Amino acid sequence: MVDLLHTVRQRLLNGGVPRRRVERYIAELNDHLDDLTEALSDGGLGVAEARAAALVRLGCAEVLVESMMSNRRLRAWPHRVPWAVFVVAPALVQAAGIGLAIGWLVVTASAARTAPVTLPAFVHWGVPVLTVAALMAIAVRSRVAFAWPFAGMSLVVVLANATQLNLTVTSGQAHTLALSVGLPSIVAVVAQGGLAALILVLLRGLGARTAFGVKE
Amino acid sequence: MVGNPNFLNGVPELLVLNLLGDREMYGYELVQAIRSVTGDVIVLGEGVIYPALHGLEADGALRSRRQTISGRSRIYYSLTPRGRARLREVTDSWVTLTTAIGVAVGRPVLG
Repeated sequence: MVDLLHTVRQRLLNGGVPRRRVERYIAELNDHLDDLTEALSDGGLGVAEARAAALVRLGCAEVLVESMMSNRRLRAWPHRVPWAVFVVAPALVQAAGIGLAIGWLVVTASAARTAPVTLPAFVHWGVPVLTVAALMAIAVRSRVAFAWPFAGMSLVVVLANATQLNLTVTSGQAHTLALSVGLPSIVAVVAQGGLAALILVLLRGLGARTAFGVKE
Repeated sequence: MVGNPNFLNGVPELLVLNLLGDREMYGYELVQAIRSVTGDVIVLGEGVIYPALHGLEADGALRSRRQTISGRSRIYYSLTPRGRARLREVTDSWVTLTTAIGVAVGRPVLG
């Protein structure tokens, strides 16, 4: 019985069913087995025989897994719409970040400054790296195949390095805000990509030991 | 006896909604009730009742709550107003379908 429920649990988690739903399903199957075993035992079977008969009536692992997996509504969002979670959402986050950055530049503009104002390095690096870290955490927790998170990560890194925001303060009240889009710096892309890959490796290692996932 | 481990399309939903329309039940209870009311004609891989219940709950047709009775904790399911509306729809569809099939095969299905 332990093998059956363990197998069902692992296959459902790997198949993209949210952990909370899987645990509830397994708990219900376990209770069902107990009830069925008791009923069969009361009907005259020995305990071991009743347990074996109950397992047969519960259904095999393939059937128990397929009946849950066949219903898309019961799967986690990263599995249902991976393109939205790993590509569209991060792109929108980057766009929002650019909007906030423009706002920050405008607010911090000072008539006394004449040197161009650019975003602090921790914003230019921090926002994409945090976005990528979030993508990787979602991917590890939901056990999504690597292709979609990798596409999202690549998009974030390229977008972050392809856009430059500069605010030039001229004398008096005139300010010039320039948003330029160009080829990303290869060095920056490689550096941020490497950092994101390191985060992924660390998270996958953590995921094998903590609530992020079960070590396979 | 009809055994279909993949759950006969549409039939379990009708039976589940109909039985839960009378009173709330937990999964094991529901499976035994299906066997009983169908005279053991419909026998299913019992574990598959739970994905069906989860799906109906995700659709808003059922609500669930955990209850402890006689020292045993179980998740009980009951119909929501949306579930009652769905029961009416599914029942109407089933009656229409079976009547049409009865006419086609020359035997009335519902008397």
